[in-house]
Amino acid sequence: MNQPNPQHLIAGITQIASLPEIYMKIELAMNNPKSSSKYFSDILSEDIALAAKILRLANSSFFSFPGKISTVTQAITLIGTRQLRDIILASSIVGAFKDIPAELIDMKSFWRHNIACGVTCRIIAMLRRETNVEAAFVSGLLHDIGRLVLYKEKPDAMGELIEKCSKTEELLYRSERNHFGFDHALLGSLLLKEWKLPTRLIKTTACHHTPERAKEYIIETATVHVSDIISNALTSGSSGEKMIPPMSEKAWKILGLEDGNLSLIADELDKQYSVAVDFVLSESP
Amino acid sequence: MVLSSDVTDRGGRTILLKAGSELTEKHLKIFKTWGVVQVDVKGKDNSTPLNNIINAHPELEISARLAVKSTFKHTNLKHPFFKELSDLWVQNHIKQRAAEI
Repeated sequence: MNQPNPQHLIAGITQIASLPEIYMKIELAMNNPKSSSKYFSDILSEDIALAAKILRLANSSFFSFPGKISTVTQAITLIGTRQLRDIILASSIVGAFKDIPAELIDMKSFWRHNIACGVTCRIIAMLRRETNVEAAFVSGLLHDIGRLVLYKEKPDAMGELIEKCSKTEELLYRSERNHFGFDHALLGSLLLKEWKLPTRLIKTTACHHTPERAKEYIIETATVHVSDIISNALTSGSSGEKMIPPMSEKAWKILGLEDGNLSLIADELDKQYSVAVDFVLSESP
Repeated sequence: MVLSSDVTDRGGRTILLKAGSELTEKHLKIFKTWGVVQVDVKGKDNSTPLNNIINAHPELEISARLAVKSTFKHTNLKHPFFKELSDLWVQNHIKQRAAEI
């Protein structure tokens, strides 16, 4: 069969899915050293719903700041502008794909898997004492975004692959490679590149099933790889994969997690998941 | 809950709380600040909700143990990580099925 060109598939999706203006404004402000917390607050005040969501998140167990945070400026000062940008991306990414027809995929289930992966990445980053744990959250949140491109551009083929995998117990990402000549990880990285998102996100998405191939952001990629496995096993959402993917021993060792960390991650995932679902999907899990 | 061993900082150099101390919410906040993610506590409670479910519906555990093998067929179940992960999967599976009864 004629295998599709991944760049053509990306061109199709970028016509319907784009990042919101507010993210672009925050990104621009990030690159201006004169931008103050007040300036970021002014940008956010253009989107009252988003500002309210950020205030709610700042007061949630996600951050566990001591005392009540009552203004957006205060929230931005405490959260930090880099983290703020990542949080806004997390909040707006769902809206970028709102036009994908519901009959193609259960979008809530899709995002729940990705949110769970993001939360797991965040917990692993916290355990490793990383500085920007929200960046880790977004890496997990976006890791399967290439599947949305496939569901939108190749719905019949994806439907057949999912059905075949549920009968044969094959891994969906391997079936994608056999059928299309590439998988959702490559497509996702191409889409994020097209959107000019940070290189870290492009690389972690590209190699989340093949972390041993990562040349940059090796720890970040290993974090997404292991978090994908954990979230597939411990939460109910799914981006199409029914089987638990195998793990790269190299990625596991790079993370340096200790015995007992998994049950701790599971407990934290249980606590943070509902907050993250509320923030990203604006609903209870 | 009472500590069964001393809690130290991540480097193991500073004792934050002695064994035998009663744990409070305030202690947990301090541990979090110091990056402590796990402590040992005395005693073990066997009357967990999960054990109660398994005692009432042993068939749920049997079906979960069978299902875990196919769901994890692409993984190395002898690896300590997957051993623990598959156990957690079984526990979740049993709880979900029990909730449907």
